[in-house]
Amino acid sequence: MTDLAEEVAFSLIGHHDVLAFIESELKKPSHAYLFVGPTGTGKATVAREFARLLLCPEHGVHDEACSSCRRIGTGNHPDLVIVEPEGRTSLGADTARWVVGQAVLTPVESDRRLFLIEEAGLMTDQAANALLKTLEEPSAAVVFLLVAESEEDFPPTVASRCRIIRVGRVPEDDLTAALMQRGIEEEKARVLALVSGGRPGLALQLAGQPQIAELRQAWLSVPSRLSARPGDSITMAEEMLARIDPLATEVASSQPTADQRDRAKRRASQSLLAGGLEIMASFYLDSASLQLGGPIRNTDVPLPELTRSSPARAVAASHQVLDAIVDLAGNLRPVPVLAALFSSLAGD
Amino acid sequence: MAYQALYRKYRPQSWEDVVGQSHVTSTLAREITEGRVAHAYLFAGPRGTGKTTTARILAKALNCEHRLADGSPDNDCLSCEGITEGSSLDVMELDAASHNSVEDIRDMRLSVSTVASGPNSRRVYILDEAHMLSKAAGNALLKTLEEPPPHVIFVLATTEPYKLADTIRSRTQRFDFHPVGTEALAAHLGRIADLEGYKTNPKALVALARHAGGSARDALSLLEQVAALGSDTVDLAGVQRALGMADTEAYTALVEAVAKADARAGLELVAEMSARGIDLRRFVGEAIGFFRGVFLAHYAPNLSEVADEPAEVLEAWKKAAKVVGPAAVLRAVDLLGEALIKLREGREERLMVELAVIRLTRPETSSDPDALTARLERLERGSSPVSPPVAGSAGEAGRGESPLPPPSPAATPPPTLAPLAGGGNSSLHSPGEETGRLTMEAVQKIWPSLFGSLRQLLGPRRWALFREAAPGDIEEGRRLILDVSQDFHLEGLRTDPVVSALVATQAADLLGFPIEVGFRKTGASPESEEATVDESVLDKDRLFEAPPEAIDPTALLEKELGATLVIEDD
Repeated sequence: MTDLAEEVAFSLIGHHDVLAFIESELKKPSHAYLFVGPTGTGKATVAREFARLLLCPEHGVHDEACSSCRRIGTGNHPDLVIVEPEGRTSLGADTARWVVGQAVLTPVESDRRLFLIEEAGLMTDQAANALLKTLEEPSAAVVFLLVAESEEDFPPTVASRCRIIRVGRVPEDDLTAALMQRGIEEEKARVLALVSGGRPGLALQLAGQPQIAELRQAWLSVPSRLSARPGDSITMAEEMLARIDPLATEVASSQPTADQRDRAKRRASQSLLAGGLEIMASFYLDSASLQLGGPIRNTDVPLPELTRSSPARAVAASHQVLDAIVDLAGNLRPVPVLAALFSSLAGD
Repeated sequence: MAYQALYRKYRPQSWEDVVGQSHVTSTLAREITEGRVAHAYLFAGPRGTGKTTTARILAKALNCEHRLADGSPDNDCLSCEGITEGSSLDVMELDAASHNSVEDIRDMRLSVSTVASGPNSRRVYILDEAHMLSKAAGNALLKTLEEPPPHVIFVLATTEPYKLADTIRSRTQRFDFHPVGTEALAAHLGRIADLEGYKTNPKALVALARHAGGSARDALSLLEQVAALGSDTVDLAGVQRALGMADTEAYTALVEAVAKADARAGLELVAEMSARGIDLRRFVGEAIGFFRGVFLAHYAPNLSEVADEPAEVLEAWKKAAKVVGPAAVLRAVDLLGEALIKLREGREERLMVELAVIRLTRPETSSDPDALTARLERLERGSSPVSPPVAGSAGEAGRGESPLPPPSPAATPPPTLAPLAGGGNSSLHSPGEETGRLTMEAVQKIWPSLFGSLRQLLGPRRWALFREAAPGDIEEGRRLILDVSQDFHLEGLRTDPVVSALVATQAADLLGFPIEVGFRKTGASPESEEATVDESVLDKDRLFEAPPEAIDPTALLEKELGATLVIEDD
């Protein structure tokens, strides 16, 4: 099995509906698809897999990867046009017009020509509008595959022209079961599912790391270690990041070039940080829920720990932690964000 | 021919095929039969309501060689076929989004001055997404738009007419396309499903139509998607699965949880939705719609006239309006709206929705003024929260005594104390319940809820003692013995009858039968009242009571803090 195939197989864990849908679509594909879901759930992988199946002359049913599938894996297929944002931040009207121009050309070797826009959410309004006509009625061979976090990243006229395929996070139980099928013992599988926040790709990459359980405990212990002294908050923020760093490096180490390693590491540490903060948020949520007679998630935390703050405070704290995740996703520097979060949680 | 999406395959080709826009199509048809066609039109309306389609039909009808008496094209002549295929020279379809520069408009003005393909032909320029024209481009167009050559007609189509300059709008005849009504859209879906050979059910079609929000294109995309998943069968379950939709019962359950202040029921509902693969973001969005309906039910006596919903939904609104007051409903809409915005910013969905549900069901967890109003309203309605009151209770305020009758440790708890509604707790009931016999298993099951609920009930002082306790043993099948590791705590718990009474009451409510509660020292059997003092643990009380000369500070520091004695020579 190739790396890609393995990644695909894993990304599709828990996405049975997605898989069934893709298969049913292969028979008579529409002209535009929009894959949506939170970061790191494998929606781009799913989109690429769909592209591979669409272009493969044998519809992906073969033992040895055919030339078409192999070249899609390496990004060298002439009929798969990968549209990338010109900068880091946006995909502008010029690129969109280029796509419109390209979309009238006939396929080179297969019977379809695919346009894969992996960061379609970065499209500017101008770009989205420029694509509309083509997106609605492209020439017969063209299929658009758009990937974005949410259909609300565009004007509603875009989503209205596409078939929407939702690739959500995998529920904790499903992911745990899938990891166990791969020979990981239950306890560890559950921790992996929690730490990765339901992102199968990340969970699998972390499976070989022994420090994972420790990392989760570290995040769970943050609330009890909070201190109102700003210095302590910064030290603790640095400590948490230092725990994540080697894991992210390890995850990224399989990438071939330094640039790709860099990007992969940044993605991995962002996901790990978000996953960790989500664990913390779930701790506070448990705290509120427990005191209001509701169910709790982190059953291994001693109950007294969960009753330290009143439900109202716990709810507010959980909100603050979730806000910090959004700040981090907006590329703010992690140490100040974490330190500010820790001190404001301690100050309440 | 390659497979085409339904919305392209069944694009209307004559006036009567256009769904739900008869106010536009009948006017246009009459203008054509009477020969009073304007030179510039503005078609405005939401996505998927038929703007571009109508523009194409207009072009066809104008150029048709054998136009019918009612102004419809015959869809058979060369001209009609050419336009349907998109190869006609008399229809110029441009999208203003990618042709929005002044140069593009100048090119267009050049082509406007050339003649049409036949002596009687009219040339129709369709400018889609007209709101994307740059300001300069719009101005460059003005003169031509006002007085084009006689054979030229402009149709500007846009979803955002307010973005167009006034000077453009005033030169056009404006038609507003309305969102297609649910019934008309469902009927349209039914016709196309029949043509495609899908097995359908009317309720499913209505659900699809409602979900499409008045857009025919969205509706057809959804129909296709559901049919593809259900191998050409379109039923309600399939629609709900494909769309990740919850049913009305789920929202009714949410309203009930709000009415009863039952956080547990609310959280269990979220868990159920999540397990069923419901899109939580959509769940929140539709919950807002449901609460809006409940609000309507409060104030609109003629509900069926103001809302385009089936009777059972209206009924559910009315029922819900009986249990929650208008202030609580408004607060729910606000809170869920806020949650929806936060979800769009990318927060983890499950956690965010659970937080919203906690705040929704227990207003005391938020500090906003609306929360206060909602709590007042609930008090007026006379319903009490499911679990004990939280922040601000007597204990929390530090006034000492809980508002309780004088308790006795062994007494059967009075049933009025801290009422816990039976409904939400069914899952907690253990097998021991039927016999009324207490088992360790049952205790372990209820312990988290018991422990959690006691914090607010006991108040800070008693809680400080109680939080050290853990289930230890069962005596005679009805007496729960709690282990405490420190004498200081044990003493406090034993001498304060309120603690054991409250614990017993709460536990009885969770278990469904009365129990007694006692405390003992960890590891000791319950009979040994004289627990041996553990020397390894510092007893601060004894320290305070002891005469100063009896304490050796150095030894104490060494023992308690691990200090090392260093004697420095000068």
